[in-house]
Amino acid sequence: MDEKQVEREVQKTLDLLISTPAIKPRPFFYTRLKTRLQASANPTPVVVRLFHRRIALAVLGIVLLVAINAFSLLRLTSRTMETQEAQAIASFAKEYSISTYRY
Amino acid sequence: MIPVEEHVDIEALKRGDELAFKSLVEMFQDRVFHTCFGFLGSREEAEDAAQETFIEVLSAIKSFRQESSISTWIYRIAALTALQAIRKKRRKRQVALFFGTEGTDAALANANDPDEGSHPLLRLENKERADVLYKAMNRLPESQRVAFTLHKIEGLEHKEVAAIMNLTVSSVESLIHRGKGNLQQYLGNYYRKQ
Repeated sequence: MDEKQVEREVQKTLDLLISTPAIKPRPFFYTRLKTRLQASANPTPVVVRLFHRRIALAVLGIVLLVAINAFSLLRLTSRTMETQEAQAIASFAKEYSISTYRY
Repeated sequence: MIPVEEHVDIEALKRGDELAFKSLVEMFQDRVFHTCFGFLGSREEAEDAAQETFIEVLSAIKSFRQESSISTWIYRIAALTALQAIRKKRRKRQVALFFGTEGTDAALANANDPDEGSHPLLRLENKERADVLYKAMNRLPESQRVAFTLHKIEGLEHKEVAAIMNLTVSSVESLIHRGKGNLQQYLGNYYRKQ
């Protein structure tokens, strides 16, 4: 684009400022404003919000406890099973005089 | 143009009279909305800022000392509210950039169609130009932006802008002149790259 074209484009863009017709709000602007004012005058009470927050924290705590217990139980169960399996192999080997060492 | 006589019952407003407030809103909603749109370029954001303006007017009316006309005062609140909205948008964008979650330039891409009802092709071309213009205006320093928007978009006289911004007329003229110069520079750089 040569300099003259650039100047023309710049001017056309700046002319939008004066050529653009005035824009108005959508109808019932005051109704929406009034609704907003009423909503801000009757917010959710702080006590209720705090209560909800406490419930959320309590539930989170319970979920964590359950998760930790479940994890611990799972580990314990798998260890017990491994021990039982090792014992079974050992007694089988003893009965048939087989060595359980791995080479 | 700010009207010389404004039939606003300030005492009733200070008493919290709802009818007086409704009357004030109906008298100024177009001007406030248009001013906010001039800053924000988006119908939705302009409506939000316009509502915030009137909420602020309602809460601050008791401290209005009538040192200026009520329209000057309301324009001042509208300009400040719009600027706050712009700053908030910028901060959100900075956070989004930091976390790499920014999409397209939604704030300015939302510049609403300024000439509803005209030919679709013209509308599209003007929308693209409006996007470019608002991006350039967003780069202006705040004081230049306010002066330029109030004078060029809202059509206020220099002395009216000076009253709103609490500046002298010559300061306002200087701001508008520099603002225009900066815009020409930004736009020129943009079109040279095309």
